[in-house]
Amino acid sequence: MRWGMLIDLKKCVGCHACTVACQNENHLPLAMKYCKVYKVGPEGEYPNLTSYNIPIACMHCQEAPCVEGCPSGASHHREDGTVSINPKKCVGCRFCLLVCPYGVRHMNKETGAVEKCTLCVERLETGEVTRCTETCQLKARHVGDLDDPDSELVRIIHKENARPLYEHLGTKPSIYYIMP
Amino acid sequence: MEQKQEYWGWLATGYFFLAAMGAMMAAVVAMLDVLGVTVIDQIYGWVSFAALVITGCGSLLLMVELTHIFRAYLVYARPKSIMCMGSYLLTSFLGLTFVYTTFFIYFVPWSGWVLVRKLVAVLDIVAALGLVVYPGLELAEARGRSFWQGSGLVALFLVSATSTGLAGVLLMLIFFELSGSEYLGVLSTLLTVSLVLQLVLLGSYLWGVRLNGTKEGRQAILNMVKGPYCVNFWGGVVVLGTLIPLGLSILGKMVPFAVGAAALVLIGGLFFRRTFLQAAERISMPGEENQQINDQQTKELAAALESRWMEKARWLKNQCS
Ligand code: SF4
Ligand code: SF4
Repeated sequence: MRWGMLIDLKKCVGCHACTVACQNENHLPLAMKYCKVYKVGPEGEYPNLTSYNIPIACMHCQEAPCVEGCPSGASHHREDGTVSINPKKCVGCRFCLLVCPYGVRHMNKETGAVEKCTLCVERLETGEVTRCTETCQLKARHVGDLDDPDSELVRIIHKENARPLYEHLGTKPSIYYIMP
Repeated sequence: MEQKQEYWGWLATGYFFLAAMGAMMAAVVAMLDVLGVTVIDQIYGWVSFAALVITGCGSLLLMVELTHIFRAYLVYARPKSIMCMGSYLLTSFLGLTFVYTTFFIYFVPWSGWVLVRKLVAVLDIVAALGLVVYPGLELAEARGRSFWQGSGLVALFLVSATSTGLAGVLLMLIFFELSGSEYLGVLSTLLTVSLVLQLVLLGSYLWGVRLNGTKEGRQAILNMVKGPYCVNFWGGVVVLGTLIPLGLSILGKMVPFAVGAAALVLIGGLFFRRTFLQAAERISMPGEENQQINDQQTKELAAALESRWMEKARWLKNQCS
């Protein structure tokens, strides 16, 4: 079992609804975003211009530098493949912030512990989808089991040749993107 | 887009600097001791004690950097992590240096056990070298910061630490009025060699990243040589920290020159770590540079909105009551 997600950038219109829903779900202050949406472009030369939006949150890497580097074991892999942080073990050394290539971790100044997207594992365990997936009106997000070759998620990943972001960094992310 | 590495600031810089200086001071005297250099053996104990204090101060800075200082023992929890290995190295070094120092306290029963002292000295050298090279390995773990991925980073940290360690021992030699000993000359020469090596390694490291690095690596170098960190880099690392002390140590082996060179090398060592830590930008996410407002501005906006909402809530409450 390995939870993963697919984000279809051909569908994402950059409405930031997922960002707000995630903030709501995790009771985050306005300035803290586990999921950010960036606008790319317009790129290229007229008339071959392209512009798209890309939501970025924790990639739940299988070879996660944050997990490998965490001295206290606060950052760890769960059995379902997601990367989680135990706030009671976090000493606040910020090494994970330094080594995460995607820049998706945040130091919560109030708790002194690092936080990030949890892939809403509590929701997934009860059969719901993640809050961002539920909120996305364009159905740009799909969540499922990457280890199950018959799952809809894996089927679409193969059909659309979806790829993780910055694969060359070798962190083996569990979030895939259909590029526009 | 992240313009700089903002997670580890002056405290981490201070730790890296003090640990490197302390470790190499201890390593230098331990090596002299193992080689049987007896002319200046009167200061081995003092240098080793100073190394202990300096590295200890560095460790305190590291502790202060943690947001949960009382959980600091957890940094030993995962030996596979490079941070954790660093903690074990630091602790072993402090322990060994403490034991080594005790051999120089005359009333301690084992003060005359020369062979055991030399054995501890060898172990101390190993721990010191480990402590000095591990920052290079630790920074290289950041796959998204290509500025730290150059193959010469460990060597550069080692040579810079050697310069600061030699400078520390030189200053102690002068402090203990042993400036007349031939070892002042020997240590000054070693410092000169180390500074030349440092200059060559620094140049080749930056050149290597410029040629083979990614966009972010090249940008980090531009920031250092022409951008926001150019004063620290050219002023602190190159001119104050390397060229002037090099000139001073070539000019003569007289005490004022040696003191000036050693003090400047220490300043240079601090700036070297500061600049190298700060300059390493993370790889940009697609579109990250298009962010209309940066994280700091978002925080300010959020705080302003929050206070406006509170004002409104108070106003509403007054109206209702
Ligand atoms: S994206 Fe960053 S925080 Fe998330 S698992 Fe990968 S390295 Fe860790
Ligand atoms: S800040 Fe916390 S989660 Fe991150 S590496 Fe340090 S102990 Fe681990």
